[in-house]
Amino acid sequence: MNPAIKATLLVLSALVLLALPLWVNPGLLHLVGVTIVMGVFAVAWNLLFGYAGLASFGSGGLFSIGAYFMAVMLRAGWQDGFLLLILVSMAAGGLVAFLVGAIALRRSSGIYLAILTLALSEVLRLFLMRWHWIGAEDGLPNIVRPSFSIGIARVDLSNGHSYYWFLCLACAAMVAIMWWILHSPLGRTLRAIRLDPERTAFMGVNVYGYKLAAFTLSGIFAAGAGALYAPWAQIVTPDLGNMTRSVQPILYTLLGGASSFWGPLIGAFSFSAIEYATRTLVGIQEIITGAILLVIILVFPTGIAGAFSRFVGALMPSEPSSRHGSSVASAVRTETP
Amino acid sequence: MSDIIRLENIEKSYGTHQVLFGIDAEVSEGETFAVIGPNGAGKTTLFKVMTGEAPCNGGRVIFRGEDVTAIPAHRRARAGMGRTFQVARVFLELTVLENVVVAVEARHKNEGRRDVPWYAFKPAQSVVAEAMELLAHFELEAKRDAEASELSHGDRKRLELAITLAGKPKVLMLDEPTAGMSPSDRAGVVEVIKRIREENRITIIMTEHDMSVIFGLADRILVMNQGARLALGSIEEVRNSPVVREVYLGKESQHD
Repeated sequence: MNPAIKATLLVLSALVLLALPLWVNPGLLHLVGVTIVMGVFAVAWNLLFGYAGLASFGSGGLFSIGAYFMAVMLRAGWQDGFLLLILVSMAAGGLVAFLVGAIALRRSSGIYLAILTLALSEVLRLFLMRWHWIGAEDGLPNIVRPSFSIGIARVDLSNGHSYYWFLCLACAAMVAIMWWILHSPLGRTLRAIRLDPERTAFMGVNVYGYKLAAFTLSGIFAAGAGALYAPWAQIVTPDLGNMTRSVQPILYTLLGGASSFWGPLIGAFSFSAIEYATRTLVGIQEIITGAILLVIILVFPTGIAGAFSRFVGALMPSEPSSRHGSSVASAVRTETP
Repeated sequence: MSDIIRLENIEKSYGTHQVLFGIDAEVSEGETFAVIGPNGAGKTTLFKVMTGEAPCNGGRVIFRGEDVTAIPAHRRARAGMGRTFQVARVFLELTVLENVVVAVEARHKNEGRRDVPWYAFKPAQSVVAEAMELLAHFELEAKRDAEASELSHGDRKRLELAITLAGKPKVLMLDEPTAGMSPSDRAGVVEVIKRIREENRITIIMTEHDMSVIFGLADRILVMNQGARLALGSIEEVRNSPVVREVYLGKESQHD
C-alpha cells in the first residue's frame, strides 16, 4: 500500500485513540485499553509466526509473567521506578523465552513446538494457581496505577484517564520498536528463514540463533504487554496465562493478516468491535462472532489487512510500488523470447 | 594447485540403507569438478555430506585444510561454500532485490562489516549497490521489484546464482544446474557458469545428468555408481574407461 495512505491511517487511528476518553464511557474505554494491550501482544506473537515462521501456543504464559512481575512490584510499593519496572518485567519474559527457546528450538518445530509451549504455559498457570504468596487462584487484586517522577517532573497515572494515555504511548513505543526491528536486517533475515531455513543457512546465517533471537524478542514484548495490562485491569489472576489467552493473538493475527506488520493490531480491534457489537445477543454471541470470523478468514486468506490493501490497490492501481515493480517485470518478460 | 576440498573414505547411511561406500576424492583449487552417475548413485547425498546438510557416518571432509566433518552448514558457508539446488530455491515472497540484499547483508554481518548505523531500518546503500550489480550481472535488474514467485524457472535459477555469489564463495557447488531446462536454456547456463568461473576464479563442483554440459565445463569427473566411486579423472580418462562406458556412458559414447 502507498506509504502516504498508511501514514495517514496510522495518525488518524492514533488521534482517535488518544481522544477516546473525552467521549466514550468508562466501560468501553476499559475495553479499548485492553484491546490496545492485546494488539501489542498479538504483534509480538506475529514477530515469531509471521517473520520467523514459528508458532507458539504458550504466549499467554509470557504475558502473565509480565503481568505478575508488575503486579508484585507495584504492590511492594516500588511505583517510583515504574518505567524501570516495565523493563524488568520485559526482561523477565525475555529470559524465560530465551531459556525455553534455547532448549525447545534445538529439537522441535511446527506442531511439536506448539504443543511444547502450550504445555509449559499450562505448567506455569498451575504453578501460579498454587503459590499462595502471589494469591494462588484469587490472583493479586488492588494493583495501584503508579505515580512517579522523571527528573523534575512528577507523573501521576492514578488520576482520571492519565493511565490510558500512558498506555497508548507505551504501546506505541513498543510497536515502534518492533516495527524497527522487523525492518532492520534482522527482520529481513527472519523472513528469509521463514521462507526457507536451509537456503538461509547456506548464506552463512545461524538459523538457530536467529530463531532464538525472535523467540526471545517475542517473549520480551509479550511480557511488556502483560506489564502494561496489570495496572490497567488492576488485578492479575492465573487465568491470564490460560489457553484462551494464548489463542487470542493467533486469532487476531489470522483475522488481521499474518503477512502484514499491522495485521495483528487490526485483527485485535476488529475482533473487539465484533464482540462489542454483539454483546447484547446473549446466548448466540459466540455463534455470531464465530460465523463472522469464519467468513472473514475464508473469504480473505490474507486477513483484513491484505484485503484492505488489495482494495486500495484496486482503487489506485498506479500507486503501490510493488504492483508497479511487478508490471515492469512482466513487461520485460514478455519481450524475452 | 592445492586441494580445496578433500573427501576421505566417506560413508553414509540412511537408517540401515547404506548410500555411500567409502568415497575418496579431492578437488583442486580453481578447477571445475563434476560428479556424475545414474539416478540413485549418491551424487546428491555426496553433495549434502560436503555442504553439511547431512552428516556422514564415517570418513572426513576437509575444506581449505580444516576438518569440517562436524561443522554445521552455516559455518561451512561462512568458510566459503556456496551452493545451489536442483530445483532453484529462492525466497519466493521477497522481491528479487530483497533476495540478494538478504544474502549480501548476511555476508557483511559475517565479515563484521556495518555500513549503516545500528538504528537504520533501510539496507545500506553499499548493500543495495552490490545487490544491484549482481542482478545486472544476471540480467535481472529490470525485475528487481518483482516478487521472486513471479519469475520463470530460468530466472529463478539465475537469481539463485546471484544469491549464492553474494556470499563470495570460494567453492561454488551446483546441484544439476540445468535440471528441467530446454536445450537452448542449457547452453545459456553453461555460458553463465563459464563466465562466473572466469570472473571469480572460483572452484566449481557440480552434479549433472547432461553429458554435453559436463564435457563443456568439467576439468575432472568423479563417476559414481550405487554409492561407490567408479572412476575419477579427466574427461578423456573417464571417456576411455571401460567400466564407465559399461555402466554409464554406453549410450552416449555411441552417439559421438
